[in-house]
Amino acid sequence: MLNKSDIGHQEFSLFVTEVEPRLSRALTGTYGREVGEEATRDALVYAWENWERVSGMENPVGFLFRVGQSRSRRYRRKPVVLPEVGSDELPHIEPALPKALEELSERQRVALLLIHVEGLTERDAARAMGVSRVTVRRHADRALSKLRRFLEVEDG
Amino acid sequence: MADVITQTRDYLEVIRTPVTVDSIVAHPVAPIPDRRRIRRGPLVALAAAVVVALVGLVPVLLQPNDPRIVRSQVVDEVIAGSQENSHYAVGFDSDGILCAEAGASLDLSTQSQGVCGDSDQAAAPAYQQVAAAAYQGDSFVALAGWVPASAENITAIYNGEIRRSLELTPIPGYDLYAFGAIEDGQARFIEIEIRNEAGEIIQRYFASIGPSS
Repeated sequence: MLNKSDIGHQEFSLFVTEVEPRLSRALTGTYGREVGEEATRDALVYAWENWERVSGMENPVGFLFRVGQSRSRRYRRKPVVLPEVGSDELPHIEPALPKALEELSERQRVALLLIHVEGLTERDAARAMGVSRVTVRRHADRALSKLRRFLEVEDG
Repeated sequence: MADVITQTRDYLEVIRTPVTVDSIVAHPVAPIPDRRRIRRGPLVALAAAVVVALVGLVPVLLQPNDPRIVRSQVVDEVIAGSQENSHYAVGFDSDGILCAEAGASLDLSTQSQGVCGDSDQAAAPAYQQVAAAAYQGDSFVALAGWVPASAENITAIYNGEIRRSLELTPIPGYDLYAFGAIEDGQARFIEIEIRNEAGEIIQRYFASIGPSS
């Protein structure tokens, strides 16, 4: 028979399976590979330590992104440098994509990642960023336009 | 060629380092910082906020154009909180650090404080954090706090020294704003506002934390 802590551990494992990739991508895209990893870990440790509270949240990704942002302060280095990837590993990706993402302001990058890449609603993204819905939409739209212009693509 | 959103997602998936659940639950539990306060029921927290506002602070209802208040400049991002023995409030814009920061409050010999960039003030709307700082001449005020859905503590700092610990209960769905302010050439005040989605102020706290408080 499972005891209470086993059940909590199982629930948390499922939660990590679902949330960690989204959180990790958003924080890695915002702060780079190393800081993104540390910030993701710190945010999930926070979730584990405060599981009763976090498990009941409607928007845990947005909340934990904010926690990761706060905790990343101790690791942050500016400017953010995103690694290049070989064309053999990702043949469908424009080689200039990392540079294009670096060219976005941090706010634009965060809005793009939360809304377009990770699928948060504008409301949840706005709360995670501490700005209004209008502002977050503006950042996300500008980021997308800038990215497309930089990569010279016409999609969307 | 895939669209840029798919490309971005796939790219980040490749470069990121996955964090496993075992590495999290095995993580040593850090000491609980001050900001994680005992959670109270909403009514008790609300009552505490009202008592603090009425007794502990100077609850002055300010007019929007009150000349004593120098409104802060909104920055792109504010980092605030406590780390070890330090309390800080730092604002950034897209070009870099914009506002001041407070340093160690428990060991004044190691405190750092200063103004960065051209601005002497900063403020930011907050969801889980609230921060503000004002700097003028030799005086410096900062406010740093951690405000999740329930009442938590916000620390007001004057020249590196903790002067007040405030408790607020933000209303879910409402935004919390904080402003550092300057009077007579000295950074002396902290103002906190709770606004609804239309940006209307529904509650305002005003704390004098300067030398005369």
